[in-house]
Amino acid sequence: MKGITKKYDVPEDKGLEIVARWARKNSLWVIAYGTGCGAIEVPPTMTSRYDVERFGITMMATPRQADVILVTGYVTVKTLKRIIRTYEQMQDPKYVIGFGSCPINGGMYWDSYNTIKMLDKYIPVDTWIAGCMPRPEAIIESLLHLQEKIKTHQATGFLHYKENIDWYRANQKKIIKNWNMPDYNW
Amino acid sequence: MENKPDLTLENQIAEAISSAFHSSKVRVVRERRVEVILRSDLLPSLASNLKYYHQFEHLSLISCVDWLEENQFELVYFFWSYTHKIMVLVKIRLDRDNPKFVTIRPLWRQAQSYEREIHEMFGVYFEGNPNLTPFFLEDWDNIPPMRRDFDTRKYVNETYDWRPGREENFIPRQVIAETYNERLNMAYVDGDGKMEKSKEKGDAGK
Repeated sequence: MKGITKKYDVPEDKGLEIVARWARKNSLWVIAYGTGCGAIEVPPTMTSRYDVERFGITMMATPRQADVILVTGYVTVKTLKRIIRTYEQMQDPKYVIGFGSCPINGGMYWDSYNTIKMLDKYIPVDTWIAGCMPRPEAIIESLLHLQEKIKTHQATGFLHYKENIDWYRANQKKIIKNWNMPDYNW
Repeated sequence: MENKPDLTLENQIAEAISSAFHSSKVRVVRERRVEVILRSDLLPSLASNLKYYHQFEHLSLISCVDWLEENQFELVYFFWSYTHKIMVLVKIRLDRDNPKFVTIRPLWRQAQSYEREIHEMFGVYFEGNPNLTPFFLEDWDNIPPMRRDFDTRKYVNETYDWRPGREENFIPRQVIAETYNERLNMAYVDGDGKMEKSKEKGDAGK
């Protein structure tokens, strides 16, 4: 993408950092926030049939205690505002999963006047799941993929966001006309 | 053996409406459907008439149609009677340049959300409605999006970016748009009768 840089410092791969990553990867808390139709696939993933809690992944009610946000489906302009606000309230390190074809390229809402077409222009996305709808197996697969990325320190979306906050803000403010949100101080 | 539907109740309702409202055009469409075309200022009185004298307890829907060529909006009210099991559609026309109508919220409270939505999506103002704030859209500053003169595709191209790469995927979209336009044109040709003539010529040539 044009106009964005990649300068952030990656912590070294030794000592406590390795322990911290191991701990993070094995206790991912997903914020209970549903967008669009994909939110219906999350409860089966969490409950006894697929039971994603065996990987240390569970739901969390508040953004300040969550690590992962699942953007589950089409993102309207109105929803985007809430997503940004939720994402910015989450503590570092935080990860985003773009879920289904709608956040990727608009999906079946490609010519809708009120749906954004590229989620990663507005918030950094670490993992994508393709499909309409992805099954719970796909959600588990993507969460395991995210765990692997955390382990090898590739899931650096939040560092990227900090680094290129001006670029992201400009994109966000282009879509959201009435910007009346607090600017969170990192 | 086909049983002919029994339309006596439908005919009774239609007759009652047309005898009470002389300027209305009433038609029994089929079993359980009665259509009324009405002068717009008579709708509140027809609605209360249906509700209080003919047991039409339920307002199921208010819908809006944009007749761009005739410069009019059409509001369609669907009244359902649990007693008779009949649905009455009442159609009224409004001027498109200054679309204003009266609310029927005092009669049915569920009219609130339909009127609010029609106000948001078509810009029809309902006088007497206490709350016509936007329902779904936030900070919308263009013309109401469900009007036919709102060019959705142009707006999308101006506002959002397409994901780069795999440009061949844009071809199906273009094809969908073109066939849609072609079909529209064909419908117009059909109306003039040119389509049939050209077909006949083609057959003779073969």
